[in-house]
Amino acid sequence: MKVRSLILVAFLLVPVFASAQDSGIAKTGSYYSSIGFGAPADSYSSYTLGIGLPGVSVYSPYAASTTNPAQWGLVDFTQGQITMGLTNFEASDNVSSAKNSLFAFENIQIVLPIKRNRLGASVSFTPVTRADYTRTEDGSIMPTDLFDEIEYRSVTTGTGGVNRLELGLGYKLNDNFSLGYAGSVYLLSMEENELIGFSNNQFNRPTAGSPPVDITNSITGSGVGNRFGFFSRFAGVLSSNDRLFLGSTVTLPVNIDGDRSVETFRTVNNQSTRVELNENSESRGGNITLPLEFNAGLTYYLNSAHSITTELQFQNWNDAAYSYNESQQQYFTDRTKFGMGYEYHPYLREQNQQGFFSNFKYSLGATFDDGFLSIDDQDIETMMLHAGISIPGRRTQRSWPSVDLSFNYGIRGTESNNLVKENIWGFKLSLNLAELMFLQQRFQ
Amino acid sequence: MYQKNSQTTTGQLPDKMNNNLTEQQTPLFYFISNSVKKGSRSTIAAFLFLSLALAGISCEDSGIVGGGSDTDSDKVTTTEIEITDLEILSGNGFSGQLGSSSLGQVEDPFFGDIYSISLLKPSITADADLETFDADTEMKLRIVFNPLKYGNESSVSEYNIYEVDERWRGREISYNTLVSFDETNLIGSFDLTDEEEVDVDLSDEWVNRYREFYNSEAADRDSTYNFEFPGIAVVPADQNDRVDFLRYQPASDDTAGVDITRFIIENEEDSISVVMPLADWASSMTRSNQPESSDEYFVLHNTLEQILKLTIDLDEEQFTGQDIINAQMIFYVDPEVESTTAAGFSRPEPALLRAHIFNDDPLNVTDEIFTTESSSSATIDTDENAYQINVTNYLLNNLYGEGDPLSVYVSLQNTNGLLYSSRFVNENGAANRTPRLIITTINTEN
Repeated sequence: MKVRSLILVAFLLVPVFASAQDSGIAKTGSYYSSIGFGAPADSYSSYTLGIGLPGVSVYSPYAASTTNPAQWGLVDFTQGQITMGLTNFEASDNVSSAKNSLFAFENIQIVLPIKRNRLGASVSFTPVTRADYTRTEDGSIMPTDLFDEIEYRSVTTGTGGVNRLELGLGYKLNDNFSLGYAGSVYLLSMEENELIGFSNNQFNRPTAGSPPVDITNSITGSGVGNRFGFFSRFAGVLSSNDRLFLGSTVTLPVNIDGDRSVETFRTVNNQSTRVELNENSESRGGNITLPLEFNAGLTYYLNSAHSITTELQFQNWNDAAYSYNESQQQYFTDRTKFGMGYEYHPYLREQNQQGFFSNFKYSLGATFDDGFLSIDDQDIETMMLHAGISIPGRRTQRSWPSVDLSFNYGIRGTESNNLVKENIWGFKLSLNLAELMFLQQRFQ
Repeated sequence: MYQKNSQTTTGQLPDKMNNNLTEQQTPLFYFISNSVKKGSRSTIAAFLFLSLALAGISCEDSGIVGGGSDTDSDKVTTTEIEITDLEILSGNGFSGQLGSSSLGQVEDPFFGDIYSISLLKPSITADADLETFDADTEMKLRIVFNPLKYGNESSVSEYNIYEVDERWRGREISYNTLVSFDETNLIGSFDLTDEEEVDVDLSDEWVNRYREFYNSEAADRDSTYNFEFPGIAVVPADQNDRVDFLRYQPASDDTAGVDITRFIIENEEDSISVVMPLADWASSMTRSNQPESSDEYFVLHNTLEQILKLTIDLDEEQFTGQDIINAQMIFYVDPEVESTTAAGFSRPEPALLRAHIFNDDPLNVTDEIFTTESSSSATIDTDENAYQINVTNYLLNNLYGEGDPLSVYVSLQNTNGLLYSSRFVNENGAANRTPRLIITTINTEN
């Protein structure tokens, strides 16, 4: 019942988040998400939100994780989680600055133990790339010698990205090793609205009150993805109560056949109608290739209260494709992200239950990301600091909910080469539920 | 090694981890809703996050960055298309009751020999100050000229005034229509150099006949006057080599109340001076000996003797994925006309090109152009000596509208009684001055 409640609430919340983005309450994200099919949407295990790492090497029986399919074979509980985040961007370039907020749904997941602690299945919906931006472009034209130079300004607002609907299985081979596989459908949906105004009114739309030139560019498409995970764990490696977790995942490249629609208002015979500009265009179809992704990590529990995690993520953006704009595709470059985090789990130690601050889990982390873009030989790097707190709910024999709350701050990009530097800070919230289901109670 | 069913870091099942909690205590969503009053930790966290989220959301988004970074290129592009298949239509515009009328003769090596007379007819509407037009009261013609001259600026023009000997109506007469006059009955004459206004005495015989109509009390006074009194023709004498222009209406830019041509009836002794406006007026102009047409240029006259017709019929697929935001037709004036015109020879300089577009092919193009507003127009760019006409709507209608493509009819200046002519470079003329269509598009596929 409770997991169903989670699903219900999640599905009720998704349109709320979506409408929040549409209404302008939460407007734009990173400027760099305007290039290609959006910026990579970092997907974290809710358990590792506070260290800013995917969490392929971190396992919690109480918090579902999308990041490593192999971990799904270990679950005893039916798990559910939904994560959302608020990110603020303070962006600046050589001439201007901007402040933007993005309140976004991160992911939702249900993990079901088919055979407890042996075979588990996961269903999840996760953003893979996200485009939320407003971008300007200034230029000038002189169509004929009879015109003075005509200046124009284009303001482009984009939303959407690639989302992954995934179904996977995890299987525990033995106490030390488990494997997982997930098949998925990648859904691309991007919409870009561009308003262009010209200094010469002859070039603007004739309709009074309407935007000068209004073009909507939509790309949709889908593709099939495959992901493999490996997870291993060992106890008593260096001391009697330590633990060592190793995890890795490989996500194969995904090809998406895109369909692009370009619409605008056109006045024909004094009637303004919305028309599709590329109805019969060969360039309507395009290819989008998401890169191969590899994750590897190591988590070492010194004891039940202290753990250190280090992980590396590599995405082969050099081989990614965005045929709709090859000049933007040229900016793609291999992305490597790595980081290290520390977690303190006093609440797992029974002897520390008395103090208020012992009721939580604390996390700290730092990550470096060399970026998926290289513009004018300038990598768009991101450095982030992360901190988090996990608040366990009231536990019973049958359930253990928790809330993970994290804060992050970092810097992305640079103002050199006419680029944009972003100071980023934000919060993420993950609501987790772990519950024993489908078990007949022996005692009332 | 790791024990079966041991939980991550503790080796304990959750039911062993916190024995203080009871089973009645609820999972996450229940306790979020239920435990507000209980002040649980998760509730605190949820509300903490919610507060932060709302604080973040309430921060107003402002500013846009990235204007300097060029991530797209060729966003706005122009396409140049040569305009071909130009067709020159012949016709004759109306020449009566316009703001001016032409008077004189000139031999223009580029635009032909022009011979023009002005036809005038006074009104007989009774004036309150002139109940009776008696024999002691005189009548004269006050001609007001437009400063524009066409021909030899410094010459002296001689004009005679005769009585017209056929019926004519200003609303019907058109250019290249000759109206005959009685050369045996000279009513007046005058010379003109650069005066702006001339008073011409009229013959007693003609004035007396007019007087009879004016004083008549017959019921058919007006109709008889219309039928039997054709008015006068101001005719250039043989030696004239210039066309002058009589003014009938103040120019649109006049602010000082410029006089216009009219008749004056006055008696100085009785201090009577009555303005007798024109009942009708027109030009009777002919053009002859035009240079032979060439495939390197075409000529347009504001008399609508020659009109350019063209049809832009482009393939819609040529603009797939592009948003057409502007289209301009450009016509270049043939510079040879100005450069080889003799010194002292002046010609009214046109400054306007008009484009008419009709939903149906007109039965009479000149009539339609004369009576309807142009769809678009352009003033001359004096630096480039060219006209640029905005045909964006026309192009969009032709490309994406239903039915056959429509034609554009291009005419010079307005038909206002002044004489304007211009020669334009044709599709076979100098390469950089041929007619062209410049289409500006937004490349939406970038």
